[in-house]
Amino acid sequence: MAEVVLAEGDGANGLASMMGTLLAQNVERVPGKFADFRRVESDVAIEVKDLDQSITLRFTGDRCTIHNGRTGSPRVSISTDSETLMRLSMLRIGALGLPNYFDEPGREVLRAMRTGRLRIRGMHHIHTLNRITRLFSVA
Amino acid sequence: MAYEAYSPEWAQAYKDEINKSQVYKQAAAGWEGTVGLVVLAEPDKNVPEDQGIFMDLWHGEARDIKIVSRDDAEKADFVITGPYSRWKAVAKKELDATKGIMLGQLKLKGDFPTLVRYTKASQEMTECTTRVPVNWPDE
Repeated sequence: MAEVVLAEGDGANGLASMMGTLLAQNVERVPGKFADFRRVESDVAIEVKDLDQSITLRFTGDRCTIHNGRTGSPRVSISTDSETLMRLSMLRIGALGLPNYFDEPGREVLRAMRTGRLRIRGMHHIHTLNRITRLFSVA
Repeated sequence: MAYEAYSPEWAQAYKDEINKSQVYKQAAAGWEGTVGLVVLAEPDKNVPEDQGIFMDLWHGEARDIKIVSRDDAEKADFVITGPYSRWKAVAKKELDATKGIMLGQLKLKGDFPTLVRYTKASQEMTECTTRVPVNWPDE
């Protein structure tokens, strides 16, 4: 069973609490996501510029620990604004478990990348990126 | 005509505003569930007691919006809690409700993935709030 822990407990920032809740509920609701959860096995950083908040998700086996701020050496780093972060969660997962970039939510994400509202470092870690996308997708 | 904040008349005007919105009707077409808003007391702002707003929302329609006790509001499927001044900031468009949740300024209880799917509907609900003129108790 997946376990999501806030490293700072009650001192966790709002972004950590929200992403932690979203991740835990999403994995609980769609048990198929658990396999992705277990296979991330790395750090992923998310920075939301308009909120001036960032977090690092550390995936180790059945556990994800979410830290305030950027820590360690994340394999993938996502830098965006709060609206685009929500849009990322709207990405639909298509054939072969890959994000669908051809429908409206997908095109919006591509537009955000083109205009610099969404920056992803470590895109060559495509499996990690796809797993994270699937884990947070609510569509 | 301006309504006393969080009065039954305000609730009726808010309900009418939601039901007038084609954007909401479309964005919330699949929504099923009740939403409770808890307004936490701020005695120094002339809000001496906690208040609750209970919203029965169904497939793009506000079937009922009423002023209730905090306890009753907390019985809803989704509950968003925040101090009076934060809700006022939302109603005055000074704070986006989704950002408020991300920042931890508003607390959400309920299934977050579902709420993320209806971000556009919740944004329109906020827009509807801003269209209802209000007499604020601290002004």
